[in-house]
Amino acid sequence: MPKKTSSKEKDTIIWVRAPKDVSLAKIKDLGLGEGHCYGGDTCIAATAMTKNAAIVVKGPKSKSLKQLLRNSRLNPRDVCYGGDTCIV
Amino acid sequence: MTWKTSHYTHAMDLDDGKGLLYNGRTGAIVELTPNVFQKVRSLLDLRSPIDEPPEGAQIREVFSHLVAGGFLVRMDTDELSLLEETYETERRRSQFLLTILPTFGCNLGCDYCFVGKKKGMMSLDTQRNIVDFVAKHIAANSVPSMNVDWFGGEPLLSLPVVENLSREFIKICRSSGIPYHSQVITNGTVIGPDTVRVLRRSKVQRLQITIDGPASLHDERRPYKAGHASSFQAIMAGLPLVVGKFLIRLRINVDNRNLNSVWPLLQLFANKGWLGPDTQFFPYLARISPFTEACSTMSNFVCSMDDFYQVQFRWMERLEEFGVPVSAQGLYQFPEPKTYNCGAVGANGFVFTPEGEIHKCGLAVDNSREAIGHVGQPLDSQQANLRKWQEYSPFRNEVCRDCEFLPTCLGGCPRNQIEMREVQKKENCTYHKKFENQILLFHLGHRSAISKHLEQIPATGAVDSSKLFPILN
Repeated sequence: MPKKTSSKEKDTIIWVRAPKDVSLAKIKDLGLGEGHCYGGDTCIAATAMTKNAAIVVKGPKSKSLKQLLRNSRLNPRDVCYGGDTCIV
Repeated sequence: MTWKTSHYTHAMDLDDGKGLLYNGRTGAIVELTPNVFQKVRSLLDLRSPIDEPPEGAQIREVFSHLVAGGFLVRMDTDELSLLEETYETERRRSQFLLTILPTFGCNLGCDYCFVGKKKGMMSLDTQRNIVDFVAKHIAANSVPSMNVDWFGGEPLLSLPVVENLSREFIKICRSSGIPYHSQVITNGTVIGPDTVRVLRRSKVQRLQITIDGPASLHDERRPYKAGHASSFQAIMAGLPLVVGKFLIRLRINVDNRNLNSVWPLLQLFANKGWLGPDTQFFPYLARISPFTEACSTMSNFVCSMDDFYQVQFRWMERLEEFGVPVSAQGLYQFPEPKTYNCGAVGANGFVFTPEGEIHKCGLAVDNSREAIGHVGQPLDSQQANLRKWQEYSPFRNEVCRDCEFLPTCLGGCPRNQIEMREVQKKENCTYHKKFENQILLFHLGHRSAISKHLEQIPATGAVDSSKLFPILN
């Protein structure tokens, strides 16, 4: 996965999890590219536990969040059970 | 525009000068290399308003990340109001969360069980009334989904009730276009092929089963009420029928009598082939605490939180070694910002007892005086017990309002706060103040930073018991 780096390689910001309300456009603005994550039924952004990952894609990138939610019959307002109802 | 550091931003030292930022309100987490962390920490430590860095400044690129993650917020942002607004909105439109006790009866006699000595099985009449309640509630309220927890007593002793009600619930949800989810909380001793067929037909997705240690220890803690057979062996006979077919949460209740005796279970589960990335089998430790009067005698056996987490971290490490994806499971406490924290305070959360009482809190099912109503009769919105839950808010508590862990805690168990249970409240504070960030570091793989973080916390867990939870009226 790509890491967000500043001009110096040693100055690195690794995003592990982005807030739900950060838009995908904003995530791209931050240089996190296409590596967005549909990490769960209530989550619009990333939940990545991999130490050296930036934002890990946990759903197929080709599908929209809406599509994934529809397929999973989950609702974004469902309480998250921490992964086991997760669409990914 | 000027900015300030979010009250819910936590900065943690990692190895080699690296750092981690975590914001409890937004859930954002970033890891920073030493140079960046140093600059960011200086910025976050500023007490005065923070100006946006000018074009070309070295910190400017980092600044936009800090804003995106909510680590910095606009000077005029009232974060507490934002949290409270979300809490009130989400509790009003909460998911339709039902806990149903088909029976109070149980074949086991566990000494720490919090359900009292009530008996009885749900009648057909009560079942009809519950179905009617569900249909009317869904018709009248915009609920996003329906979730049923089957509980007891031992719910699988009343399998026909589970099957009958599930069939009706599934029909209602299908015709209303609402997703239906359900789980059974069971002692696991009566699982046979017929049980599996019924549960699958009833769209049960998850089972919570309890094993409290190797056979001899488990049988001592969870004996049959009648006879001397091994309940452990009964569970082990049933588990192969359900592993792989359902998501299994294998609960291990621990206190100071069995905390250090849990390890053989892991090897046993591994030998059975149940531990791995794809089996959906998650053994987890649950620290016993005296929830109700029925289990108050357990207070002498409760283990300390320090002792518990020492074992808990090692337990999760061992699970990882077996390939179990612990970080993906809420069971293992990866911190998440909450919108509201308990079905009892949600507008759409209800508990039904076998005799048809309606409660808000699953821990009060053996106390009829706590009921908010009865099936077959309209709920009275002014009923005192119901109002108690409706009016409860952690945002009325000065200690909570000031706490930097409020977004992930939301005051903890509302019942503990309402009933001013000081021991439980203190433990809840200790959990968040002392262990939340450690658990985060653990899940992110920074195991060596955990001890470093602990050194920065006073031995008391930084909890001032004299200030704990004065309920404001």
